[in-house]
Amino acid sequence: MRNLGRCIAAVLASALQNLDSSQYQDFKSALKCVSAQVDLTLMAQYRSHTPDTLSYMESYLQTFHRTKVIFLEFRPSKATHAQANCQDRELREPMPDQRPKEVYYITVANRRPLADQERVERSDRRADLIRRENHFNFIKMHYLTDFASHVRRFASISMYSTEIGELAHKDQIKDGYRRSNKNEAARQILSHYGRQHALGIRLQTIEALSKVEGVIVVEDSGMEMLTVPSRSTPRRVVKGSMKNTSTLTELCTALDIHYSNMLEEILRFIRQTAADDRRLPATRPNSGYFLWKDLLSLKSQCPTFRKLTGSRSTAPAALEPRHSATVALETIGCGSRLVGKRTMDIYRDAWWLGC
Amino acid sequence: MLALFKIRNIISEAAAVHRLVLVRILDPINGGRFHIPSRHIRVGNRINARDMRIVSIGAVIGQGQVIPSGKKQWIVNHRTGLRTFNEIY
Repeated sequence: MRNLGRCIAAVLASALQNLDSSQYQDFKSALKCVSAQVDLTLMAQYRSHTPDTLSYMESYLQTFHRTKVIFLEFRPSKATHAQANCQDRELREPMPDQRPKEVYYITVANRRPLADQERVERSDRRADLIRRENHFNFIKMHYLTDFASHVRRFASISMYSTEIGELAHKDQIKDGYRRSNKNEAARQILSHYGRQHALGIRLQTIEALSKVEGVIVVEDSGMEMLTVPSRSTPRRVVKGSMKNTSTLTELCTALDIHYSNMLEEILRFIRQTAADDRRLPATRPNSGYFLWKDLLSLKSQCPTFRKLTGSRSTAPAALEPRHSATVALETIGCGSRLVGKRTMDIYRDAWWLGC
Repeated sequence: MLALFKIRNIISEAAAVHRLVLVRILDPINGGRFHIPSRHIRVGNRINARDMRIVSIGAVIGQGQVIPSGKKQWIVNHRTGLRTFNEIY
Protein backbone atom coordinates (compact mmCIF):
# COMPACT_ATOMS: atom_id res chain seq x y z
CA MET A 1 0.00 0.00 0.00
CA ARG A 2 2.85 2.34 0.81
CA ASN A 3 4.54 1.67 -2.52
CA LEU A 4 1.24 2.19 -4.29
CA GLY A 5 0.90 5.59 -2.66
CA ARG A 6 4.28 6.64 -4.03
CA CYS A 7 3.25 6.33 -7.63
CA ILE A 8 -0.53 6.28 -7.79
CA ALA A 9 -1.04 10.03 -8.13
CA ALA A 10 1.38 10.45 -11.03
CA VAL A 11 0.20 7.28 -12.76
CA LEU A 12 -3.41 8.41 -12.53
CA ALA A 13 -2.43 11.83 -13.83
CA SER A 14 -0.80 10.17 -16.81
CA ALA A 15 -3.66 7.73 -17.42
CA LEU A 16 -6.46 10.28 -17.09
CA GLN A 17 -4.95 12.97 -19.23
CA ASN A 18 -7.13 12.64 -22.33
CA LEU A 19 -10.38 13.96 -20.99
CA ASP A 20 -13.73 14.11 -22.74
CA SER A 21 -16.09 16.85 -21.75
CA SER A 22 -18.30 14.23 -20.08
CA GLN A 23 -15.41 12.74 -18.13
CA TYR A 24 -13.66 15.94 -17.17
CA GLN A 25 -15.35 16.53 -13.82
CA ASP A 26 -15.16 12.89 -12.76
CA PHE A 27 -11.49 12.51 -13.64
CA LYS A 28 -10.68 15.81 -12.00
CA SER A 29 -12.43 14.75 -8.81
CA ALA A 30 -10.65 11.40 -8.84
CA LEU A 31 -7.26 13.05 -9.29
CA LYS A 32 -7.96 15.59 -6.60
CA CYS A 33 -9.11 12.90 -4.18
CA VAL A 34 -6.08 10.67 -4.73
CA SER A 35 -3.65 13.60 -4.56
CA ALA A 36 -5.17 14.80 -1.31
CA GLN A 37 -4.95 11.33 0.19
CA VAL A 38 -1.30 10.91 -0.86
CA ASP A 39 -0.39 14.38 0.42
CA LEU A 40 -2.06 13.62 3.70
CA THR A 41 -0.13 10.38 4.01
CA LEU A 42 3.16 12.08 3.23
CA MET A 43 2.60 14.87 5.71
CA ALA A 44 1.62 12.37 8.37
CA GLN A 45 5.16 11.00 8.12
CA TYR A 46 6.68 14.21 9.45
CA ARG A 47 8.62 13.63 12.62
CA SER A 48 7.61 16.98 14.01
CA HIS A 49 4.63 19.17 13.31
CA THR A 50 3.75 22.82 13.47
CA PRO A 51 0.30 24.43 13.42
CA ASP A 52 0.88 25.09 9.72
CA THR A 53 1.54 21.47 8.86
CA LEU A 54 -1.49 20.41 10.85
CA SER A 55 -3.66 22.93 9.06
CA TYR A 56 -2.33 21.63 5.74
CA MET A 57 -3.26 18.13 6.77
CA GLU A 58 -6.73 19.18 7.77
CA SER A 59 -7.24 20.93 4.46
CA TYR A 60 -6.06 17.81 2.61
CA LEU A 61 -8.47 15.74 4.64
CA GLN A 62 -11.34 18.06 3.85
CA THR A 63 -10.50 17.87 0.15
CA PHE A 64 -10.41 14.10 0.36
CA HIS A 65 -13.79 13.89 2.09
CA ARG A 66 -15.27 16.35 -0.37
CA THR A 67 -14.16 14.38 -3.44
CA LYS A 68 -14.24 10.77 -2.26
CA VAL A 69 -17.79 10.30 -3.53
CA ILE A 70 -16.39 9.57 -6.96
CA PHE A 71 -15.06 6.22 -5.68
CA LEU A 72 -18.21 5.28 -3.84
CA GLU A 73 -19.62 3.08 -6.58
CA PHE A 74 -16.46 0.95 -6.61
CA ARG A 75 -16.73 -0.31 -3.05
CA PRO A 76 -20.10 -1.98 -2.71
CA SER A 77 -20.49 -4.40 0.16
CA LYS A 78 -21.78 -7.93 -0.34
CA ALA A 79 -25.22 -6.93 0.89
CA THR A 80 -25.36 -4.03 -1.55
CA HIS A 81 -24.26 -6.33 -4.38
CA ALA A 82 -27.03 -8.75 -3.54
CA GLN A 83 -29.56 -5.96 -3.29
CA ALA A 84 -28.50 -4.55 -6.66
CA ASN A 85 -28.75 -7.98 -8.30
CA CYS A 86 -32.19 -8.46 -6.82
CA GLN A 87 -33.28 -5.09 -8.16
CA ASP A 88 -31.92 -6.03 -11.59
CA ARG A 89 -34.02 -9.18 -11.63
CA GLU A 90 -37.11 -7.34 -10.55
CA LEU A 91 -36.64 -4.70 -13.23
CA ARG A 92 -35.98 -7.27 -15.94
CA GLU A 93 -39.08 -9.35 -15.31
CA PRO A 94 -41.94 -6.83 -15.30
CA MET A 95 -40.61 -4.76 -18.12
CA PRO A 96 -41.81 -7.03 -20.97
CA ASP A 97 -45.28 -7.08 -19.47
CA GLN A 98 -45.39 -3.33 -19.27
CA ARG A 99 -44.72 -2.95 -22.97
CA PRO A 100 -47.68 -2.27 -25.21
CA LYS A 101 -48.75 -5.26 -27.23
CA GLU A 102 -47.92 -3.67 -30.54
CA VAL A 103 -44.25 -3.79 -29.53
CA TYR A 104 -44.22 -7.52 -30.19
CA TYR A 105 -45.09 -6.91 -33.82
CA ILE A 106 -42.15 -4.65 -34.56
CA THR A 107 -39.01 -5.97 -36.17
CA VAL A 108 -35.83 -7.05 -34.40
CA ALA A 109 -33.91 -4.04 -35.70
CA ASN A 110 -36.45 -1.70 -34.16
CA ARG A 111 -36.62 -3.69 -30.96
CA ARG A 112 -32.87 -3.37 -30.29
CA PRO A 113 -32.94 0.34 -29.34
CA LEU A 114 -35.64 -0.41 -26.83
CA ALA A 115 -33.55 -3.15 -25.29
CA ASP A 116 -30.57 -0.83 -25.10
CA GLN A 117 -32.67 1.80 -23.43
CA GLU A 118 -33.86 -0.72 -20.84
CA ARG A 119 -30.27 -1.81 -20.19
CA VAL A 120 -29.14 1.76 -19.64
CA GLU A 121 -32.04 2.38 -17.30
CA ARG A 122 -31.20 -0.74 -15.28
CA SER A 123 -27.54 0.21 -14.97
CA ASP A 124 -28.50 3.73 -13.90
CA ARG A 125 -30.77 2.40 -11.23
CA ARG A 126 -28.09 -0.02 -10.10
CA ALA A 127 -25.56 2.81 -9.81
CA ASP A 128 -28.10 4.90 -7.89
CA LEU A 129 -28.72 2.07 -5.48
CA ILE A 130 -25.01 1.48 -4.94
CA ARG A 131 -24.38 5.17 -4.34
CA ARG A 132 -27.30 5.30 -1.93
CA GLU A 133 -26.32 2.23 0.02
CA ASN A 134 -22.55 2.56 0.08
CA HIS A 135 -20.73 4.70 2.57
CA PHE A 136 -17.35 5.42 3.99
CA ASN A 137 -18.40 5.09 7.58
CA PHE A 138 -15.79 2.65 8.78
CA ILE A 139 -13.37 3.00 11.59
CA LYS A 140 -10.15 3.61 9.64
CA MET A 141 -11.72 6.50 7.81
CA HIS A 142 -12.76 8.01 11.10
CA TYR A 143 -9.23 7.76 12.55
CA LEU A 144 -7.95 10.25 9.98
CA THR A 145 -10.05 12.99 11.49
CA ASP A 146 -8.40 12.47 14.87
CA PHE A 147 -4.84 12.76 13.59
CA ALA A 148 -4.39 16.49 14.17
CA SER A 149 -5.90 16.45 17.64
CA HIS A 150 -3.72 13.47 18.60
CA VAL A 151 -0.60 15.25 17.41
CA ARG A 152 -1.52 18.24 19.54
CA ARG A 153 -1.99 15.98 22.57
CA PHE A 154 0.75 13.38 22.15
CA ALA A 155 3.23 15.05 19.74
CA SER A 156 4.19 13.20 16.56
CA ILE A 157 2.34 9.93 16.57
CA SER A 158 4.64 8.11 14.16
CA MET A 159 6.44 6.81 17.23
CA TYR A 160 3.30 4.89 18.15
CA SER A 161 3.33 3.00 14.90
CA THR A 162 2.56 -0.68 15.30
CA GLU A 163 3.96 -1.73 11.93
CA ILE A 164 7.26 -3.03 13.30
CA GLY A 165 5.56 -5.06 15.99
CA GLU A 166 3.07 -6.52 13.53
CA LEU A 167 5.80 -7.54 11.11
CA ALA A 168 7.86 -9.03 13.91
CA HIS A 169 4.83 -10.98 15.08
CA LYS A 170 4.57 -12.62 11.69
CA ASP A 171 8.24 -13.39 11.12
CA GLN A 172 9.38 -14.10 14.64
CA ILE A 173 6.37 -15.75 16.19
CA LYS A 174 3.98 -17.22 13.65
CA ASP A 175 6.52 -18.81 11.32
CA GLY A 176 8.41 -20.27 14.26
CA TYR A 177 5.24 -21.67 15.79
CA ARG A 178 4.22 -23.33 12.52
CA ARG A 179 7.59 -25.05 12.30
CA SER A 180 7.53 -26.23 15.89
CA ASN A 181 5.89 -29.43 17.15
CA LYS A 182 3.50 -27.23 19.20
CA ASN A 183 4.85 -28.71 22.40
CA GLU A 184 6.56 -26.08 24.56
CA ALA A 185 6.75 -23.94 21.48
CA ALA A 186 8.35 -20.85 23.03
CA ARG A 187 11.86 -22.28 23.11
CA GLN A 188 11.54 -23.71 19.61
CA ILE A 189 10.31 -20.37 18.29
CA LEU A 190 13.32 -18.62 19.77
CA SER A 191 15.81 -21.13 18.36
CA HIS A 192 14.09 -21.04 14.95
CA TYR A 193 14.35 -17.28 14.75
CA GLY A 194 17.98 -17.39 15.90
CA ARG A 195 18.84 -19.83 13.12
CA GLN A 196 17.02 -17.75 10.51
CA HIS A 197 18.77 -14.61 11.64
CA ALA A 198 22.22 -16.22 11.64
CA LEU A 199 21.67 -17.69 8.18
CA GLY A 200 20.50 -14.35 6.85
CA ILE A 201 23.61 -12.59 8.10
CA ARG A 202 25.82 -15.36 6.69
CA LEU A 203 24.16 -15.07 3.27
CA GLN A 204 24.68 -11.31 3.26
CA THR A 205 28.35 -11.81 4.09
CA ILE A 206 28.80 -14.29 1.26
CA GLU A 207 27.06 -11.95 -1.16
CA ALA A 208 29.26 -9.03 -0.13
CA LEU A 209 32.43 -11.10 -0.52
CA SER A 210 31.41 -12.37 -3.94
CA LYS A 211 31.04 -8.88 -5.36
CA VAL A 212 33.87 -7.84 -7.65
CA GLU A 213 34.84 -4.25 -7.88
CA GLY A 214 34.13 -3.08 -11.41
CA VAL A 215 36.63 -1.21 -13.43
CA ILE A 216 35.48 1.01 -16.23
CA VAL A 217 37.75 1.12 -19.24
CA VAL A 218 37.16 3.36 -22.22
CA GLU A 219 37.81 1.57 -25.47
CA ASP A 220 40.28 2.67 -28.16
CA SER A 221 38.49 5.02 -30.48
CA GLY A 222 41.32 5.36 -32.96
CA MET A 223 40.97 9.14 -32.77
CA GLU A 224 41.97 11.64 -30.14
CA MET A 225 40.55 9.44 -27.43
CA LEU A 226 43.21 6.72 -27.49
CA THR A 227 43.38 5.13 -24.09
CA VAL A 228 45.05 2.14 -22.55
CA PRO A 229 43.62 -0.10 -19.89
CA SER A 230 45.51 0.11 -16.62
CA ARG A 231 45.04 -3.61 -16.03
CA SER A 232 46.03 -6.47 -18.22
CA THR A 233 42.59 -8.02 -18.44
CA PRO A 234 39.85 -5.50 -19.13
CA ARG A 235 36.70 -6.14 -17.23
CA ARG A 236 33.13 -5.43 -18.11
CA VAL A 237 32.64 -1.79 -18.92
CA VAL A 238 29.08 -0.83 -18.28
CA LYS A 239 26.76 -2.21 -15.69
CA GLY A 240 23.07 -1.88 -16.19
CA SER A 241 20.01 -3.33 -17.74
CA MET A 242 21.44 -3.11 -21.26
CA LYS A 243 23.25 -6.25 -22.31
CA ASN A 244 26.22 -6.46 -24.65
CA THR A 245 27.43 -2.95 -24.01
CA SER A 246 31.06 -3.57 -23.22
CA THR A 247 32.44 -0.87 -25.50
CA LEU A 248 31.68 2.72 -26.29
CA THR A 249 30.48 1.81 -29.78
CA GLU A 250 28.02 -0.72 -28.42
CA LEU A 251 26.86 1.76 -25.84
CA CYS A 252 26.16 4.32 -28.54
CA THR A 253 24.30 1.71 -30.54
CA ALA A 254 22.23 0.67 -27.54
CA LEU A 255 21.34 4.25 -26.69
CA ASP A 256 20.70 5.16 -30.30
CA ILE A 257 23.25 7.94 -30.20
CA HIS A 258 25.58 8.76 -33.02
CA TYR A 259 29.16 7.85 -32.21
CA SER A 260 30.51 11.22 -33.35
CA ASN A 261 28.06 13.02 -31.06
CA MET A 262 29.24 10.94 -28.16
CA LEU A 263 32.88 11.71 -28.89
CA GLU A 264 32.03 15.36 -29.31
CA GLU A 265 30.45 15.44 -25.87
CA ILE A 266 33.42 13.69 -24.31
CA LEU A 267 35.83 16.10 -25.95
CA ARG A 268 33.75 19.04 -24.80
CA PHE A 269 33.96 17.81 -21.25
CA ILE A 270 37.70 17.27 -21.58
CA ARG A 271 38.20 20.78 -22.89
CA GLN A 272 36.31 22.15 -19.93
CA THR A 273 38.21 20.18 -17.33
CA ALA A 274 41.65 19.90 -18.90
CA ALA A 275 42.48 23.50 -18.02
CA ASP A 276 42.34 22.62 -14.34
CA ASP A 277 44.77 19.72 -14.64
CA ARG A 278 48.50 20.33 -14.75
CA ARG A 279 49.74 19.15 -18.10
CA LEU A 280 52.89 17.19 -18.80
CA PRO A 281 55.62 18.92 -20.84
CA ALA A 282 54.31 19.14 -24.37
CA THR A 283 57.57 19.15 -26.38
CA ARG A 284 59.46 15.96 -27.06
CA PRO A 285 62.56 15.92 -29.29
CA ASN A 286 62.36 12.33 -30.49
CA SER A 287 59.41 10.19 -29.76
CA GLY A 288 60.06 6.61 -29.00
CA TYR A 289 62.76 7.42 -26.45
CA PHE A 290 62.39 8.14 -22.79
CA LEU A 291 63.61 11.48 -21.59
CA TRP A 292 66.11 11.30 -18.78
CA LYS A 293 65.42 14.89 -17.76
CA ASP A 294 61.80 14.24 -17.09
CA LEU A 295 62.55 11.06 -15.25
CA LEU A 296 65.27 12.60 -13.12
CA SER A 297 63.15 15.62 -12.24
CA LEU A 298 60.51 13.44 -10.69
CA LYS A 299 60.17 13.42 -6.95
CA SER A 300 60.56 9.69 -6.61
CA GLN A 301 62.89 8.17 -9.15
CA CYS A 302 62.66 4.69 -10.38
CA PRO A 303 66.12 3.10 -10.86
CA THR A 304 64.77 0.25 -12.89
CA PHE A 305 63.89 2.68 -15.61
CA ARG A 306 67.53 3.19 -16.34
CA LYS A 307 67.64 -0.45 -17.37
CA LEU A 308 64.49 -0.03 -19.39
CA THR A 309 65.76 3.02 -21.24
CA GLY A 310 69.27 1.62 -21.70
CA SER A 311 68.06 -1.48 -23.41
CA ARG A 312 64.74 -1.59 -25.21
CA SER A 313 64.62 -5.35 -25.01
CA THR A 314 64.71 -5.45 -21.27
CA ALA A 315 63.29 -8.62 -19.88
CA PRO A 316 60.25 -8.30 -17.65
CA ALA A 317 62.14 -9.74 -14.73
CA ALA A 318 64.49 -6.77 -14.76
CA LEU A 319 61.74 -4.51 -13.45
CA GLU A 320 61.29 -4.52 -9.76
CA PRO A 321 57.74 -3.88 -8.71
CA ARG A 322 58.69 -2.52 -5.32
CA HIS A 323 59.74 0.84 -6.75
CA SER A 324 57.13 3.46 -7.22
CA ALA A 325 57.31 6.47 -9.48
CA THR A 326 55.26 8.56 -11.83
CA VAL A 327 56.72 8.17 -15.27
CA ALA A 328 55.71 9.44 -18.66
CA LEU A 329 56.32 7.52 -21.85
CA GLU A 330 55.84 8.80 -25.33
CA THR A 331 55.56 6.87 -28.53
CA ILE A 332 55.21 7.73 -32.14
CA GLY A 333 52.94 4.94 -33.15
CA CYS A 334 49.97 5.86 -31.02
CA GLY A 335 50.62 9.56 -30.66
CA SER A 336 49.79 9.38 -27.00
CA ARG A 337 51.50 9.33 -23.68
CA LEU A 338 50.81 6.85 -21.01
CA VAL A 339 51.04 7.51 -17.35
CA GLY A 340 51.40 4.87 -14.75
CA LYS A 341 51.81 5.16 -11.05
CA ARG A 342 53.24 1.76 -10.35
CA THR A 343 56.28 0.08 -11.75
CA MET A 344 54.29 -2.86 -12.96
CA ASP A 345 52.02 -0.51 -14.84
CA ILE A 346 55.04 1.10 -16.43
CA TYR A 347 56.36 -2.23 -17.55
CA ARG A 348 52.99 -3.27 -18.90
CA ASP A 349 52.51 -0.05 -20.83
CA ALA A 350 56.02 -0.21 -22.25
CA TRP A 351 55.54 -3.81 -23.28
CA TRP A 352 52.19 -3.00 -24.87
CA LEU A 353 53.77 -0.25 -26.92
CA GLY A 354 56.63 -2.50 -27.99
CA CYS A 355 59.34 -0.37 -26.42
CA MET B 1 20.73 9.37 -17.03
CA LEU B 2 21.83 7.18 -19.86
CA ALA B 3 25.22 5.80 -18.93
CA LEU B 4 28.01 5.91 -16.38
CA PHE B 5 31.64 5.66 -17.36
CA LYS B 6 35.18 6.79 -16.51
CA ILE B 7 37.83 8.51 -18.56
CA ARG B 8 41.44 9.09 -17.68
CA ASN B 9 43.25 12.29 -18.59
CA ILE B 10 46.48 10.87 -19.94
CA ILE B 11 48.17 14.21 -20.58
CA SER B 12 47.95 15.51 -17.04
CA GLU B 13 50.53 14.90 -14.36
CA ALA B 14 48.01 13.47 -11.99
CA ALA B 15 46.53 11.18 -14.67
CA ALA B 16 43.19 11.98 -13.13
CA VAL B 17 40.30 9.64 -13.65
CA HIS B 18 37.00 11.40 -14.18
CA ARG B 19 33.81 9.61 -13.29
CA LEU B 20 31.23 10.81 -15.73
CA VAL B 21 27.58 10.44 -16.47
CA LEU B 22 25.84 10.80 -19.80
CA VAL B 23 22.52 12.53 -19.30
CA ARG B 24 19.68 13.51 -21.57
CA ILE B 25 18.45 16.97 -20.72
CA LEU B 26 14.72 17.49 -20.35
CA ASP B 27 13.22 20.96 -20.28
CA PRO B 28 10.31 21.83 -18.00
CA ILE B 29 7.07 22.47 -19.79
CA ASN B 30 5.10 25.61 -19.05
CA GLY B 31 8.09 27.19 -17.36
CA GLY B 32 8.18 24.60 -14.59
CA ARG B 33 4.78 25.56 -13.28
CA PHE B 34 2.35 22.92 -12.08
CA HIS B 35 -0.01 21.46 -14.63
CA ILE B 36 -3.38 22.47 -13.21
CA PRO B 37 -5.50 19.34 -13.82
CA SER B 38 -2.87 16.86 -12.73
CA ARG B 39 -1.01 19.06 -10.23
CA HIS B 40 2.31 17.80 -11.47
CA ILE B 41 5.31 19.28 -13.20
CA ARG B 42 5.86 18.07 -16.74
CA VAL B 43 9.08 17.83 -18.67
CA GLY B 44 9.76 17.26 -22.32
CA ASN B 45 12.59 16.63 -24.73
CA ARG B 46 14.79 19.54 -25.60
CA ILE B 47 14.30 20.52 -29.19
CA ASN B 48 16.33 23.61 -29.92
CA ALA B 49 19.60 23.05 -28.09
CA ARG B 50 21.72 19.92 -27.65
CA ASP B 51 19.85 17.45 -25.54
CA MET B 52 22.74 15.29 -24.41
CA ARG B 53 25.52 16.26 -22.07
CA ILE B 54 28.36 14.64 -20.21
CA VAL B 55 28.90 15.91 -16.69
CA SER B 56 30.82 14.82 -13.66
CA ILE B 57 29.05 12.27 -11.57
CA GLY B 58 29.24 14.61 -8.60
CA ALA B 59 26.81 16.91 -10.34
CA VAL B 60 24.07 14.32 -9.96
CA ILE B 61 22.07 15.24 -6.87
CA GLY B 62 19.51 12.49 -7.05
CA GLN B 63 17.09 10.58 -9.13
CA GLY B 64 13.57 11.43 -10.13
CA GLN B 65 10.70 9.30 -11.24
CA VAL B 66 9.14 10.32 -14.51
CA ILE B 67 6.06 8.75 -16.05
CA PRO B 68 5.39 8.93 -19.78
CA SER B 69 2.60 11.27 -20.65
CA GLY B 70 2.06 11.98 -24.29
CA LYS B 71 4.66 12.14 -26.99
CA LYS B 72 8.11 12.83 -25.56
CA GLN B 73 6.61 14.26 -22.41
CA TRP B 74 6.86 12.99 -18.88
CA ILE B 75 5.19 13.73 -15.58
CA VAL B 76 7.59 14.23 -12.69
CA ASN B 77 6.37 12.27 -9.72
CA HIS B 78 7.22 14.36 -6.69
CA ARG B 79 5.32 12.19 -4.25
CA THR B 80 7.76 9.30 -4.17
CA GLY B 81 8.87 10.15 -0.67
CA LEU B 82 8.85 12.77 1.99
CA ARG B 83 12.18 14.24 0.90
CA THR B 84 11.17 14.65 -2.73
CA PHE B 85 7.82 15.98 -1.66
CA ASN B 86 9.45 18.69 0.45
CA GLU B 87 12.02 19.61 -2.17
CA ILE B 88 9.65 20.08 -5.07
CA TYR B 89 6.32 20.90 -3.53
